[in-house]
Amino acid sequence: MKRLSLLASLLCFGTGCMSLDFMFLGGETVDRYELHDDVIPAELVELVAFKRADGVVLKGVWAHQPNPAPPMIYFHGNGSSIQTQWDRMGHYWSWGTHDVFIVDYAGYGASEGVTTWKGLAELDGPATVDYVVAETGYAPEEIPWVALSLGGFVSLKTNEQIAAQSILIESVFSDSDSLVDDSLKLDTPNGWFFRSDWDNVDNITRIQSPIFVIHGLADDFILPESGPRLHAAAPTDKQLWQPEGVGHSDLWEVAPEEFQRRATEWISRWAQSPPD
Amino acid sequence: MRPLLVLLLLVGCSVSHSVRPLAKGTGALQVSMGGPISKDLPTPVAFVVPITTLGYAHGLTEKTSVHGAFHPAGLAAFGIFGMDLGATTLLAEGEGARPRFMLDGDLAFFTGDNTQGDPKGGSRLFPSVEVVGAWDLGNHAVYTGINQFVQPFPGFRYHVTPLVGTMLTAKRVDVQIEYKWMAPASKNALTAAEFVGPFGLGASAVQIGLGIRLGKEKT
Repeated sequence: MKRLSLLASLLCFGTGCMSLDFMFLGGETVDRYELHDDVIPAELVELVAFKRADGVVLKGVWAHQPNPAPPMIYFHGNGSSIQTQWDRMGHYWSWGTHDVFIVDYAGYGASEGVTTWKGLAELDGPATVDYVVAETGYAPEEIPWVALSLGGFVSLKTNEQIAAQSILIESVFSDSDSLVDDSLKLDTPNGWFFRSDWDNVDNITRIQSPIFVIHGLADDFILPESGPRLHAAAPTDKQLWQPEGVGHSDLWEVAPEEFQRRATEWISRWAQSPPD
Repeated sequence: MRPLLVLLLLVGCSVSHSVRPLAKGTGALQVSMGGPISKDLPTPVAFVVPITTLGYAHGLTEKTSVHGAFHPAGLAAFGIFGMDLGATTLLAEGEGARPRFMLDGDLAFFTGDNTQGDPKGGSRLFPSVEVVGAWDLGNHAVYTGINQFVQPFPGFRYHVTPLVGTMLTAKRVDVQIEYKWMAPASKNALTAAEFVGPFGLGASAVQIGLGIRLGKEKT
């Protein structure tokens, strides 16, 4: 997908029509999921499909606990899919606290449609929460969300519309302007390069749920400074953790025990009684 | 966010204007290509991102010339219009092992907007000052120097760029090959685009310039 995006950009070169929005819109697509059972037993895995408000069919996967457990939603990052996120899903599942649900956004994995800013910002997240609420009977404010990278954008925008029990975001970019300026070592207008507004510092000012911001100090993909920027802008109860030696998406591998301890403590802090 | 490498289309500008003064009343068409080296493209080797400037220089006196260039790469990619204007002057003639010293001042201007409404576009000015020492080797020359690049607003940025190069001359054609170490004070391990730079710092850039001198020259 990355190669196709680059190729598309190079083909576009010469017309002045290029923008960098594509770097947020590249999911990995698959015809069908092949999910190994190294961690999560196959009998506890459930593939589902549900529709977005505009009719686009999204695919999701449950990793159920052996015994009844409340739901937790995982919004994954860019350039991946449920399939490539399955090891991380295994980590979340291994906490033993929640039935973990992961969704592929439109244009990602086996989900239908194409990836757009509007889809990520306004459609994929709400459809996912609505599905989980309808499927489990839990209210939105009883469901914790965890999110990685681009999934943070999805979760923050969704939380403008729908409450969550709590949100945990990991390695989320503060804004596209910072990404560009960091690369160029210049202060350039965001509108030179983007047609859509990828500003999570602004988005986070409108969230309604408690948020735990995690950003590894060895992230060479998204600036570690993004974490404090997001944390500072959050208007709700909040927490910041910047582990040393942790890169963009390897926290669950580099420090699995501490990640689990901090995350489960955070989530249990906001946990409410399950519905009758 | 590796696809940010395409931003390199905007930076790097051109090879040095300060190798050798133009004769009074003469001109030169100048083309410059090349730029920072990035590992971001899906190739097994580092990739030199093409950057092009098209310009013209004119000798005002035997020591001082002015130059201007248009930056088509940014326009072609993002619709960003870019140009620069500058002047170069001879500070001291070379003698023996002592190089010829030249000073260049340049002001680059870029403006554009990729979309209506948010996110907003705008304009930026980038002044720079460059000092070059050059040694003539027959018709050819080798040179080294330092470029100081500033963004005065809205956020102040300052970058020092050491450079080294050679100018090969055949009749009215000058070919320059130049290596620059861009932003050597910046760690490139924690940047969104992956550059190649010595000691993990800054970005190495390679540029090629072609100059065609016009007008009557002293023989």
